[in-house]
Amino acid sequence: MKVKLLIIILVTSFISSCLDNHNSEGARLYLQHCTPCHMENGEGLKRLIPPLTNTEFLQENRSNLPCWIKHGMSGPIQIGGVEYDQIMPGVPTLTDTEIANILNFIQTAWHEGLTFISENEVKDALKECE
Amino acid sequence: MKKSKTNIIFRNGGIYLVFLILLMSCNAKQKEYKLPIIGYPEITNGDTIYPRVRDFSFLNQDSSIVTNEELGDVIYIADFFFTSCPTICPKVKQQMIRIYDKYFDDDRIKLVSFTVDPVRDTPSRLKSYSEKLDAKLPKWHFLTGEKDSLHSISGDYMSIALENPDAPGGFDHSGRLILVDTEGHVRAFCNGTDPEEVTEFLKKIDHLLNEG
Ligand code: HEC
Repeated sequence: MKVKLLIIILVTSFISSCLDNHNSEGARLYLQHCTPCHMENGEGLKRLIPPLTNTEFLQENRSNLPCWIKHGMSGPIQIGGVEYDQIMPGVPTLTDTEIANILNFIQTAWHEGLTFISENEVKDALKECE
Repeated sequence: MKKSKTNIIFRNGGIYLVFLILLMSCNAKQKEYKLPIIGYPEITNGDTIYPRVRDFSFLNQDSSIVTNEELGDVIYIADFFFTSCPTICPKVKQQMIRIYDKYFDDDRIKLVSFTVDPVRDTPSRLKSYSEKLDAKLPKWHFLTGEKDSLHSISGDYMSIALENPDAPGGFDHSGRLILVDTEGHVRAFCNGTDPEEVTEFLKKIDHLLNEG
């Protein structure tokens, strides 16, 4: 009995540590700050909250993303032929590294072929709005 | 010694399990079971009086007056929110949409979303919000009105609505979904940010619809 239990504990901790190591901070921060609106699957909500799954839109706006996340955004935008116009609050307490982690989490989760965003790229992008 | 001890526990566990299953199947046979009325009853002259949601008169997204009496012949699901809510509201609305879609063709049930921020949430603002969610009348009312009335009525729905400058967006409010019957009694509620709780809640709605 005891041996069995030990094996179960070992195997589960092994699996969870494996799942954990890949951009866990980005995933955790996304869950904490973004899922209330953009949802776990990044699909948003109807015509109220835009999806984060449109690769073309993110690619075109790559340099705007850090500012939007940190300081929020408002005004009409078009994604996939749908207009969205609602206020998104920013999260000013996020550090450059945290923003990079969130963005890289979004890319890994829903986009292929986008290059990773570094902390330095975030820092440069933020100069536009700070 | 140890081994046989665990064995006994296991065997007993098995017996408990059988009992539990028997018990559950017994309960399932009791068709009489009704959803409880939530809240403390008052006993006056030997009569037990269960709490009801107080009377109200608010404006919906078409600027039409909606009263509890008008809603009286249907059961409804209520929630409290505001359109500029920076936190849980879209998640709760996603679950409200689930209910809206499921009972779209069932005229015995409606949805009612009360704003906690009536100063900003005018009927026209509620209109544009509801349109973005594809929420249509007469199925789904978005109500606004006097702030004090909206805030105090939230308690009748076992919910919270408070102005708080320190809260995100300026208001504290709970993300509960509340099931109200045709008599104005609250019969169930759940956490509207948790899809699994809402799945259980849907069963309660079905149950109430079948109570007749
Ligand atoms: C309170 C709800 C809310 C929260 C929380 C929120 N967003 Fe948004 N987000 C919005 C809305 C609404 C828009 C559209 C704004 C507009 O219309 O200008 C948007 C737009 C965006 C966009 C650009 C449009 C798109 O869909 O690609 C990105 C990127 C984005 N959000 C990322 C995030 C990230 C990352 C987080 C978490 C750090 C986050 N958002 C948290 C509501 C929210």
